[in-house]
Amino acid sequence: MTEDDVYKQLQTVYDPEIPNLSIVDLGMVTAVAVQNDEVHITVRPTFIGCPAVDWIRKQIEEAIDPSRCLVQIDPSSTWSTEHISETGRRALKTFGIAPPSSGDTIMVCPLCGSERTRRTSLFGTALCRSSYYCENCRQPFEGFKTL
Amino acid sequence: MNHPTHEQIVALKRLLIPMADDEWMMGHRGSEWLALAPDLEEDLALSSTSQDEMGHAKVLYDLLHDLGEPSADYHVYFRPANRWHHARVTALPKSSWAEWVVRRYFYEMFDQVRRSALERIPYPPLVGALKKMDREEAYHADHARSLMDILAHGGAESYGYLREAITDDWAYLADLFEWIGPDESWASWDVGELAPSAMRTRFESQVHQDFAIWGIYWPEGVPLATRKARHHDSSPDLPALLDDMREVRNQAAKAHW
Ligand SMILES: [Zn+2]
Repeated sequence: MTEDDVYKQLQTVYDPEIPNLSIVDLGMVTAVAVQNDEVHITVRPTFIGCPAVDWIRKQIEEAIDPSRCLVQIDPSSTWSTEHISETGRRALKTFGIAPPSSGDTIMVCPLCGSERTRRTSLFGTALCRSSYYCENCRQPFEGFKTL
Repeated sequence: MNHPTHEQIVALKRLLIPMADDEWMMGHRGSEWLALAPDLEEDLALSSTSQDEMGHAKVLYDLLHDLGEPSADYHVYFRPANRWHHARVTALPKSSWAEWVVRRYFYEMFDQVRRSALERIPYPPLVGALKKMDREEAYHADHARSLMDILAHGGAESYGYLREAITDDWAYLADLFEWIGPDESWASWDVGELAPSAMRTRFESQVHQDFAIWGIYWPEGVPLATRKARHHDSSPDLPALLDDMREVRNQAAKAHW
């Protein structure tokens, strides 16, 4: 198994709250090393209170091979929404969540593409989201918080 | 200071246990409002803010564990009532919505001041954890202010509830600014911002400004507390709170959860 193989395999591990966004595209994987027969993977947590970290660790082990995969959670590495890849941002949109904005840019409605949106709450149905309303298609939607 | 001395470890514990306990209690009391908030947005906000606060508490208990304290699970599920060191205001039983809004606002404003003081301690694992919390807490502070704004500008009735809640909580605020050890404990770091009087001054100037915007009468300075403020040797409410919080866990205390 090469490091590329490992990354390919990690593309099948998803955040349980956004089931089409892999942990690689979310920016959680910080290091992969294949040594002899062992696979070492380092991941960083996203939101501090996210309860999915242990679940994700298990999914990684299952996806590689529990008998030779060592997952290390590194809380000293700081994740931010800048670490979400372009593929990841597209995955969010497909799932119906507006990708994080940089600075004060307007949230574009992931449903119709309109910029006539307003934030209705800083918080949403998960730690990572805020709530918005689209004046154009008149639908509520969620946007990824910027961290 | 990657390897603190024995004295520094003692000092870090005296600073971090109060903060961890405050965060935990705000998370716990916040979660009691779930499904009772005035609208759906607030229910969702409460689930996020409470989960954030409990996550922050866990990070701090883990830091304390690295410094030789028992585990996070011990602190939350097994620690006796007289070993908790939160400020009483964070653990007050649920009363009115306005009281919760006011409590959150005061707590978030105080918590900003406290984090920026603690960030000056040259212990990298702590500074790293606090900087991460800052980003999440920025949402809390904005949100807490916006709820105050709604009550302040919601007409005579809501303004009345707000005034009453401020009066009720004001008497409890003093405790927030106290630590659980003598100031000499952290004198070696020479961080003046950690002094209760310094934190109180910064807090007061922020709140005074906000009150002016909301047209709320400034009730003069926050009262002073004693060094015993964060000790709960004979607190009437705390054992009941802990029993309630631990009820599920205690069904099978020895089980692996
Ligand atoms: Zn739309």
